[in-house]
Order: sequence, then C-alpha cells, then structure tokens
Amino acid sequence: MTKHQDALAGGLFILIGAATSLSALGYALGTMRRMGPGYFPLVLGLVLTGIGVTLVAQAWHRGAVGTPIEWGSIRPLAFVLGGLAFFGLTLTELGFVLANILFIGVTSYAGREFRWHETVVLSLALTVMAALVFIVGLKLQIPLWPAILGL
Amino acid sequence: MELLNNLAIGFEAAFTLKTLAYCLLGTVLGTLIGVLPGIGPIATIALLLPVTYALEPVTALIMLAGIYYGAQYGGSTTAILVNLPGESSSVVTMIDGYQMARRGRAGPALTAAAVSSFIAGCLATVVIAGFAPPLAEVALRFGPWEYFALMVVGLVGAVVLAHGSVLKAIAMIVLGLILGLVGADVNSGVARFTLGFPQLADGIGFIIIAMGIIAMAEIIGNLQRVERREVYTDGVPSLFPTREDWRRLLPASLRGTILGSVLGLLPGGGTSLASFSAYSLEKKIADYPERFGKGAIEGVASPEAANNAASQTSFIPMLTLGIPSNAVMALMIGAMTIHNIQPGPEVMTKNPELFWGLIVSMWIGNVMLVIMNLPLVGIWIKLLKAPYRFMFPAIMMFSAIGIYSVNGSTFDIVMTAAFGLLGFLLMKLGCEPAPLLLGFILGPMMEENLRRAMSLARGDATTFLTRPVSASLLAVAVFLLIVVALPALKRKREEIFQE
Repeated sequence: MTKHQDALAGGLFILIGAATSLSALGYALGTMRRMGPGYFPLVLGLVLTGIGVTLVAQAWHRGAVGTPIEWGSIRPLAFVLGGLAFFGLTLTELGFVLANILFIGVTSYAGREFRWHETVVLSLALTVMAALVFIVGLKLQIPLWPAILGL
Repeated sequence: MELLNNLAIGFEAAFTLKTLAYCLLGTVLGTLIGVLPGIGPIATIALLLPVTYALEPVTALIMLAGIYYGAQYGGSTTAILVNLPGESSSVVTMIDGYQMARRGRAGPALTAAAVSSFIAGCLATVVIAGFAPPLAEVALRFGPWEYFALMVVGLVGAVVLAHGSVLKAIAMIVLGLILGLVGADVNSGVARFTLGFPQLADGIGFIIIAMGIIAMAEIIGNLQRVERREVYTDGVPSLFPTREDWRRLLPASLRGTILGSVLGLLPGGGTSLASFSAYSLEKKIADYPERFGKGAIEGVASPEAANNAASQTSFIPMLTLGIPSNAVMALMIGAMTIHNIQPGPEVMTKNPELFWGLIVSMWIGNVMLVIMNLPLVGIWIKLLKAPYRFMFPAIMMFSAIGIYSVNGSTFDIVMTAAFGLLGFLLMKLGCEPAPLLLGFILGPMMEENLRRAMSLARGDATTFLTRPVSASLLAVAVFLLIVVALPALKRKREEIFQE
C-alpha cells in the first residue's frame, strides 16, 4: 500500500498539517471576533490533516489497487537541485565566475548524456555571457571573483 | 462612446516605442521558452518574471502578457511539429495538428493555429474592454464578506476543474494557503512559521514557490523521461492553407472563440478546459467526425482559438476583482504586487493607463505573434532540434540569476532548491501544482478578509449568510462541491479529462 501515490501523499499531508496545527498553537488563537495569528493556520492545518487521513484511509480500503509511484532516475533530481543549492551556498564566497562554472558543470551531469568536453565549453561560454550581460551590462550586484582574492 | 475613449487611453499607453519593444521581446522570449517541450506557460512566466522587475509597472505587465501568449503559441508549435505538448492545453492541438504535419501539411496547421489565435485574440480583447468596467463597478461595493466568498468560489472552481483527484486538489490548495501564511502576521506582527530564519519574515517570495514547485519539478521530470523526439519536416514547404481549409477554419475559430471566452471567465477555468471542450464540440457538430484524429484542420483551429480566448478573458476576474482564476493569473497578481499595484477594482480608476494599456497590448501581442511567428517557424524548428542537454543548464543558470536578482539573496536560491524537492515529491505523488500556487496567492488575502469580516460583524459568522451576495456566492461554492461529489457527474468529469 505504501507504494501507492495516494497513501504516501496522504502521509505527507498529515505530516505537514499536523506540524502546522501544532505550531499554530504556539501563537495566540484569539476569539471569533478578534482572530489571533494562530486561528487561521490552526484551521488550515486541521483541514490538511483531515484530508491526509481520508486519503490514507481510502488507500487502505482499496488495498492493492492504486496508482504506483514511479520515482524514475534519481540522478536528475540530485544534480539539478544539488547544483542549484550549491550555487546559492557558494555564490558569495566563490564569486560568480567560479560558482557558475561549477554550477553548470554539476547541473549538466543531471542529463543522461554527459560529455566532458561539451560541458567545459558550455559552462565557460554561459559564464562569460552571463557575466557580461548581468554583471557588466545590467549591473547586478554579484561579486565576480572569489572573496578571498579581495578584488 | 466610453469604450472607444477607454481604448484610446490604452492605445496611447501601449503605442510607445518602448512598450512595443518590450511587448515584442516578451512574445519572442515567451515563444522561445514555450517551444521547449515540457515547459508550460506557468513555468515559462516564472522563469522570465525576474526579467521584468526592473521595468515600469505598465511595461512589465505588458511584457508579461506577451510572454504568456508567446508561451501558449510556442506550446502549439511544439505540439504540431514534435507531437509533444508544451503545456496541457496544447494536448488537444497535438491530436490533429501532428497528423497534419505527418501528412506534409505542417504549414497550414501552423497557420491555422496562428490565425485562429489571432481571431480569438481580437474578439476577446473587445469582450474584456466591454465587460471589465461594469464588473469593476459592482466590485467596488463589495465588503470583506463578498471578497472572502468570492475567493472560496474561486478555489472551489479550481478544485472542480483540476485534473485527477478532487481530494488531492483541495489538499494542494490548503497547502498553498499554509505556505502563504509564512512571515509576519499583518494584524499582530508576529512572525509565523519562519523556522527561525530571519529571511522568511517577509514571507516566501511567490517566485520561489513558482520556480521551485513548478519549473524545477518540470525540468527534472523532463530529464527523467526517455527522450524520443521526432521533429517532423525539415522546413515547412508552404504555410498557406487551401481555400477548402479556410472554409473550415474560419467558422471553427469563431466557435472556439465564443466557447473559450465564456470558459475563461469561470473561476479555476482557463485554457485547458477551453481547448478540450472546443475539440469535443467540433467533433460533435462535424459533418464527417471520422476525419478527426487524422488531420482535421478544425481540430487545430477551434481549440487554439478557444485557449487563446480563454487565456485573455481570464484576465477579467483578475483585473476587476483582484482575484486570480488560475495559476497564471496568480503569477500576474504576484507581479503586480511586486510593482506595488494592489490588484482590484481600483486599478481601473487609479491606473487607467495600466488597465487599458494592458488590454490594448493583448491585442498588439496577438498581432505580433501572427506577423512574427509564421516567418520565424524555421528558427523554432532549429531550436526544437537543439539537444536538451545544452538547453537545461542554460535555463537553470538563468533561473538562478533571476531568483537572486529579486532580493539579492542567495538564501532564496537555496530555498528554491528545497521547494524543488517538494515539487518533485508532489509531482510523483500525482498532485497537480497549479491549485497550490492559487492558494498561495490567495492565502493572505483570504485570511485578511476573513478576519476583517469577523471583526466588523462582531464575531458573528452568520453575516456571511445574511448578506445576499456573499450568501449566494457561498451557495454556488457548496453547490459545485456537491456536484463534484456526485458519482454520476464524477464519471462524466473523468471522461472529459480522459479525452
């Protein structure tokens, strides 16, 4: 049953809903007339939990029937999001040029066909173009070079 | 004639060299990204939104509208030439469009799509210009009760018209509403759900949600799919439809326009529903229905007209009530807020250049698409042949820079990656992301109106039922929910989405 879409979705909704309701209790609930910051979130969290429970119950009831989850290859997920997170975490320290070259390199590896020489050319070309357009041209405030160089 | 007067204001605002240039840029960029298979209009707008931040509000919105139409049009081009839908509404175009292309009639198919979109665009512009002002006038008299009720109807509409499971669609809306709550509470200033991050005090940027949950998930999904792309036709031999084609095409586009204009107005309605219904209508009234699925030109013209008309008339609730009827309009509202324009009935009176300029630019955008895209078909075909392995790193880079440019914050980039994970998870669990985006935009508005209404009514919830307009709106919402829950209609609804 846990291999099916609805069951897992229900579980996810229960988790988020319960977390929302619980933390909403930490804010003032107020009254119907003067609703506090906790009122609306509490209600929403309960509704989401309720839907989650219904989804799980339905899935339970159906038993083996249901749409199975196809996770697919994990590689695109890991390298697309990993590359993006890496870019965000290192941009200030490494500067745009270095961070972007690495970002494109990591991201390219997400695709099924990965060729070293192509990726090198692509990341250099995109970095030069973006640096010229966004930093030199549009004057976006991004450091170009690594902070450690003090340029 | 007030209408002509208003349109004159619009033409004045939209017919400057700068505005025209950005409108053109928007349609080209929109088509460029929209042509890429698997990237729909929502993702396209999200990806390109940061480009418009530096512009003046009028120009920015006009460019965004251009991007939207461009993306729609790009999606149809892909559908016809590659048999891959760029977005859900071009799934229908694909059926007969691709068949036409396989029979060497890609040119007439593309022309049919362009011409019928253009016809729909012209007529829908008139519809908006005629309907928006009276509606805005009514909306000016609305109190928080009516607004709350309207939003409920809008959200219920989104549920009814969403694909797949109703329960999951509701859950996605609620999840969106919850995400919309993050940040400082308007009334008390308490920071909610910030998990200790000071960067979240102003709430989650809607661009982060849209990019993470929709665009990133789409890119990952595309990379996972085994690619088998067959671009039909190396060149398009002749663009011109025959006389017989025209005879079938024109009435079909008019029918599509009318149907699309009406469906676009519905809360939660929009382009997919419009094109699906238009296709079934054509099939039903055709003299030889068996031609459909084998390259019938009406099967291209009518859905294309319908989705273009719907994409335009769905601006009406957004412009007059400030309430988005679908995810694209939610993005538009987000864009307006960034430019400090509070969407709602006042926009028309306070910002007439913006309001009418936008409407006129819709028409201009359609003209540009026709005169530009048909000659440029060759370029789009080349782009379709460019391997995805070069395209997606570039898209990723532009997204990252775009996200950063909004607040100059690297935290936003990391957060987008985190929402990308959530988006991926939801996609794999069969949860449609569009209702979430709608809920996210409506969340804060709903809470504010609910709290204001309750406080004005001294905590008496029955006020929602004693005020006639809000009572009837809520009745509509309840009715819709009951209708969806009825087994007979449930089956019918599944059938419609099956087709």
